[in-house]
Amino acid sequence: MNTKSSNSHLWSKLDDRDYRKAFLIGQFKRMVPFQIQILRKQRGWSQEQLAEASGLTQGVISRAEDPDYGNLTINTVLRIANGLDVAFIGKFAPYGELEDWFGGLSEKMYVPSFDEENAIRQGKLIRKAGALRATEGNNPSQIDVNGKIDRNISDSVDRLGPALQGDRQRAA
Amino acid sequence: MAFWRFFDYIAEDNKNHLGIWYGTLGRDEQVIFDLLVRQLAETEDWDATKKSRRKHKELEREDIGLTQLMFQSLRLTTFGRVFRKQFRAIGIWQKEEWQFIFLNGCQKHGIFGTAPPDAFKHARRLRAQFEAKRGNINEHKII
Repeated sequence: MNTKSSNSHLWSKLDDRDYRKAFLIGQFKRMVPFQIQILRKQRGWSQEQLAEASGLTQGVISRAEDPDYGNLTINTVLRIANGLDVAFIGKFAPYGELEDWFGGLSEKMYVPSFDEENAIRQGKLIRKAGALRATEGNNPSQIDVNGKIDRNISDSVDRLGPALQGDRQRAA
Repeated sequence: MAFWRFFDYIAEDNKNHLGIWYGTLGRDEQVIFDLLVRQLAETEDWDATKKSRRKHKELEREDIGLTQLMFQSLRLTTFGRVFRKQFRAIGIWQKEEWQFIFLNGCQKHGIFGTAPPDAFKHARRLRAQFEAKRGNINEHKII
């Protein structure tokens, strides 16, 4: 038997206007429920827990995770996004952007909550400021065009310091 | 990342029966099918999904050896009524090779009815041809 291989051909399919219209609706109706389920499972939550965090009932979450339900509203999606503490970007975009997003969908399935994202950002700020301080006074020539940005980061960390301490005290 | 590869069986009459059936679907139904194939390609363990939400079923009795992929299209009327159409893509699931060979497809009518008629009987004939190493397979393009 012979085999022939091929690459992704979404763009050529999108050339057909009717397919494009159907794809826009179809991918939203299927991928949003799929992503809600993935994000909930990544957090180790039950549907009841997500419902409580979102101010919805477990039944609504169950339907929101069902790609065959077909009647998911933006209002519900936004409330679930709030429950998961993630952003939901509903914006008009060219099809090329949709294709890029769709192409890397499986790699982008993990979405950190705001707290996780904040911790990641602060970790980066502290590391960058630490690197800047290490170079200051030793070899100023290493502080190049990025130096200005790094100084701003350093200032930000100084400003964030007391706030972070306050957070830690509140958490304790 | 795709775990599974999909192929279309080109029968000894040189016809891609899955492709012919796909061409008869409406655009919205084609999209649902394309998205399902993409979703399954990227799902490592199909059986890990809750049984009621699974999109595949390994057939039994006279259809043993065949697996159907299931999807439905919904149409909401202005009065809130929902019209559902049930579709089946039939093929051979080769788990060891991480691949699925599409044979043909159909729309379900009631418990036993299909459009085109006798789609499962046809799939059994195609499977016999495939197992006799007659015909070819082409990689099924995933969106």
